[in-house]
Amino acid sequence: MADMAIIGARDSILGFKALGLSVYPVKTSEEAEKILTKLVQENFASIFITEDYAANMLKRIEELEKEIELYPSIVIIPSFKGSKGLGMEKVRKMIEKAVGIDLLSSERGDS
Amino acid sequence: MQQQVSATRMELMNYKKRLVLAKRGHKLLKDKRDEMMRQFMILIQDYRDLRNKVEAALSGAFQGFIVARSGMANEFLEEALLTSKDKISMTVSKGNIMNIKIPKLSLEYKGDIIGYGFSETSGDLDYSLKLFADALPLMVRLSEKEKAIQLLAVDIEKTRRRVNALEHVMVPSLEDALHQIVLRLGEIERSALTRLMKVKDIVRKH
Repeated sequence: MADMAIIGARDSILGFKALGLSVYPVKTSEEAEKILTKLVQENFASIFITEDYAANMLKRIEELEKEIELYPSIVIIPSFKGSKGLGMEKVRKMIEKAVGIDLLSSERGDS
Repeated sequence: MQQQVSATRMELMNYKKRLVLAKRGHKLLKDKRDEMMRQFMILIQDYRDLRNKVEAALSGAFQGFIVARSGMANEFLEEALLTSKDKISMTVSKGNIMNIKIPKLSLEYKGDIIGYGFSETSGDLDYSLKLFADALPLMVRLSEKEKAIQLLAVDIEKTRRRVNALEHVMVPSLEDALHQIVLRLGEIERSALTRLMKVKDIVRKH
């Protein structure tokens, strides 16, 4: 019924093609933004986007997420260059807004 | 907060009822908020573990893929990936936390990831694809959790605002109004009493 899509640099995401995901290679953040805006209208369950492009469009992602009801969920994944922790950062912000304090990092300090 | 209230017994009764209602609502909402927070914490814990796992799995897979890519001609690689027979299908359903609808995704694999011939492809490619395939279910669960956190966060914020509004605005203002009415009624009663006494005095003099 639903599908998954992945947006990112060609090198990062080509491997997912073999798994049957819908792959959208992009070269610039603007391109990624355009594709993402289009994809959220379609019938995807999850959209993954690699960190290197997501970094420049966090605002847009936030905006889009507000409009979305249940699907798709937009998830930031690390690119092939390694993780900068952006995906975590996004969730940390959501938590901070909801609870008023930063739960993630304080808990990390404990453990 | 001062507000204009007419000091009648009717009004007094109304305000008492409203105060009781506001207090009960406050208690219920507070319970709701606490339970939501508990669920939220569990979700966050899960999410953090998952996120770490996914990041580790993916970085491994990417590295494997780059190795595979460097060992193969570009056109062979693309061809190999395109001929993959693997089909994933997602089943989407709705879960429920505290009456908030959250997505539930389940992933089904059909067919084989490796749909290419072995003569032109390297073993590294097989291996890295296997890593991607392993990472995928984790990613699906991650996306599910992330959405749940997001939805729950919005609702917690809403509930928190409501609790605060009831606790700090609604209840005090109602109590204030009640107090005013009681004072005013007492005043009216006293003035009625003195008036009566005065009247009686006048009557007695005659």
